[in-house]
Amino acid sequence: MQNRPKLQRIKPTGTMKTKHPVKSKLNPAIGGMLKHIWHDDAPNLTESITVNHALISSIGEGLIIVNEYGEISHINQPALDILGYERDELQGKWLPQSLPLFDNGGKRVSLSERPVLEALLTGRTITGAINYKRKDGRLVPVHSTASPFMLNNRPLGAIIIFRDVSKEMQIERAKDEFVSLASHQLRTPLTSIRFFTELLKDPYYGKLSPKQMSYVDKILFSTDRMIGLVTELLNISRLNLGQLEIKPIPTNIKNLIQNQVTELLPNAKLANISLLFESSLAKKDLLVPLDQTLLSQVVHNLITNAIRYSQTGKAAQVKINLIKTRKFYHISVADSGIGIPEASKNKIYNRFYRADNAVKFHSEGTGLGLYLVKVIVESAGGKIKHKSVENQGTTFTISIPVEGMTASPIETE
Amino acid sequence: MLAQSVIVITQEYLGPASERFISRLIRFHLNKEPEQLLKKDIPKLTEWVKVSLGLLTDDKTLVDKCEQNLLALAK
Repeated sequence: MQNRPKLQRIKPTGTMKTKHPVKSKLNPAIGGMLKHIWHDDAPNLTESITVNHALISSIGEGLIIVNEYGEISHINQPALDILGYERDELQGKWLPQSLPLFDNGGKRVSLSERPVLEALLTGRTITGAINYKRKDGRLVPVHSTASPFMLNNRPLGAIIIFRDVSKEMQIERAKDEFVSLASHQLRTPLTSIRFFTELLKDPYYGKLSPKQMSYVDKILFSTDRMIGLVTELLNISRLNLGQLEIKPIPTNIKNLIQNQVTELLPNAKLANISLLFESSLAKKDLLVPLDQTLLSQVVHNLITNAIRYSQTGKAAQVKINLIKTRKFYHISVADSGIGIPEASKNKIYNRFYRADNAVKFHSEGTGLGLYLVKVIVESAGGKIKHKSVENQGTTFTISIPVEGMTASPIETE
Repeated sequence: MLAQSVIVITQEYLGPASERFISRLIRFHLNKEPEQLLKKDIPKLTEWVKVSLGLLTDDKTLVDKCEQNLLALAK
């Protein structure tokens, strides 16, 4: 490709002129900074290059620019500090070999899965948490952004900006440990409260007046809610601490779902909603390696949500369906409820997020249920998707590989 | 189909992943389907293939050879 502008290490000397403005796809701060390097109006290129070299070197985040051969053409001092290398050890070296990436489980990321390649294939900015291997062999967690590096609408290579998030992760971990400990400690007295409240209801220990009975029922209801909330918090903190593992054992998938449907029938009845479970699975396909506790929790959460957000009064129904395709078992839960507003569709799996209409319709809820579902399903090698129309209903579908759930510690972002 | 010729050339460097790799590049950077690829699209596609391939192999000669072979399709 003739006349292709080459990306070189910037030297603060020379009088070379260029009229190419940078069309950077970076965040505005970095993009603006880089524009100076090839500024059309630069009265003095040497000065411009010097200023911008200083700017790039001064930013607090690590910055790596790779050329069209995947070689590191520029690396700033913060990047070198994070990675523990000297400049000469990385400058001009092939990026994938010099700086291998590792996922949060410590597994090396393959060449085809590196975010920087995805950025080039799609032309998009790819952001995420990943681990670099430092020179001393230690993995360093970073938050990284990779984008194509463009000049005159032509790709010159890629730019990677990253920052060390070790300290943030330590704080997160301390927070999760605290929540885990607090939840665990809270559960013990709550279980006692529940036990003794149930005893109070037993006429064997004395008859309660109707008013007293209604108060005891209220205590019981609130205690159950509190136990549910604490259990959910405990699960989330265990997830974040990597203490929750997927342990698949051969399980009848149809029975597992049926058990959850049966368990939730009283709740559905109370809400005047019927539960309909259908499965077209052949007998030979029923046994699948599944983590019974975790998948039950997933199905339970989905059906509970469907009941909770169904609009009653028009023969409301929640349909649960189980089918098998070539690669997956698909479990779908469909309701005719309030639906998910367009603005919330991308946020519903976030921790503690609840859509506005969900909060109005049902004030109780933690915003943890769907987060937990997504983390469990995806950690098990599965997928989750949803279709929703506001005021008409929502269908959540989880897909579990036909080989079953993948055994592993559960990973969170 | 021109895209098929591109895939055949890149298969030498990318193996069976070539089809998906090229299809994605065509869709994302040329905003068209592979079957709509025209000779005039080849130079731009080649630029993206080159920078992407550069992250999959450290062999510069191979990257340059792939570039030359692809550009020949535009003639």
